[in-house]
Amino acid sequence: MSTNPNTSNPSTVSDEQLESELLLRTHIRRSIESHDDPIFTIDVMRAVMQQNRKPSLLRRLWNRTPLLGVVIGCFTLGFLSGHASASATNLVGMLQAIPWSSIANSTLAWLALGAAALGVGVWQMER
Amino acid sequence: MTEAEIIDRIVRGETEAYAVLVGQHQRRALSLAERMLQDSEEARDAVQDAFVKAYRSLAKFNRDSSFSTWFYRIVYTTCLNVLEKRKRTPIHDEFDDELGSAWIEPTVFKSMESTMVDEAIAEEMKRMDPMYSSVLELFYVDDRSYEEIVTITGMPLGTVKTRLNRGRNQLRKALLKRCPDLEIPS
Repeated sequence: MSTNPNTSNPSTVSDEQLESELLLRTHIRRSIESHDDPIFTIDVMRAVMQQNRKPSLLRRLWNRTPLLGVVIGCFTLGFLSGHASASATNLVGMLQAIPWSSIANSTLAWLALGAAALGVGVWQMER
Repeated sequence: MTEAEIIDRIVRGETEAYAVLVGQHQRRALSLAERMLQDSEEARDAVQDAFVKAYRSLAKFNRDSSFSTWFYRIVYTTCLNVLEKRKRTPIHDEFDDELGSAWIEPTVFKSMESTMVDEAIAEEMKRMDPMYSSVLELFYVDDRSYEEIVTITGMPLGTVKTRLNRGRNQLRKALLKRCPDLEIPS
């Protein structure tokens, strides 16, 4: 060999260079330690399954809090305050002031129930 | 069953089919991660993380490349993130074409026992900057083309070639050290 191989022209590949590449490939492959690890597969699948698992009902409710809060909270407040007497100054007073028996017979009460059902329906669709 | 069929099954919701892909690719992925991180526990965590990421993104895999190239890219970037967290900066990205095409003379391999060559290479690969050894591993062990290595690592082609050359050169020097009597024209 008359030239330094490490500065030779890369565009001309000699038989010697090809032989060198094959030898290097063989030796590198032999020197690499690799082994199958069945426990690793189990660990990975466990992690993947955890990704897949549905969150608990509580978690899903928590995630939907803004939607549920807006739908049910606004409606309930609006509905109840409409029935509270002007003299009720606190929550208990307000609740006592609500004429529950007449509400049960009112159309608005059924509308309230319908709106709540709609809220739950939207929530179910988002699940 | 082909890889495409396995992927289709997983995307349809048959999660268990993913175990086939994990089994097929874990060995090489772990080897690459161990090479890059030089810590087997961290490598296991990184590859597990990469498998979970790949699973989550499988529906978005557009199949322009093979699954393994796409997945190795995830493994590689996950390992880079781990290295980043460690605040290591082992990367020398500059393109250096002065090195030309480094190669090891066959005489060097033939001048010592085959097992000694294996040992010397294994030792040097462990000592080497992981950014070089991982490229060597992708090229020589996984039979990846330059283009595939570019896709996996996100490095420019010139950097890939430079790293390969430097890796080869480092192995050459390590082998030459073990056979001081060998006469190689410089």
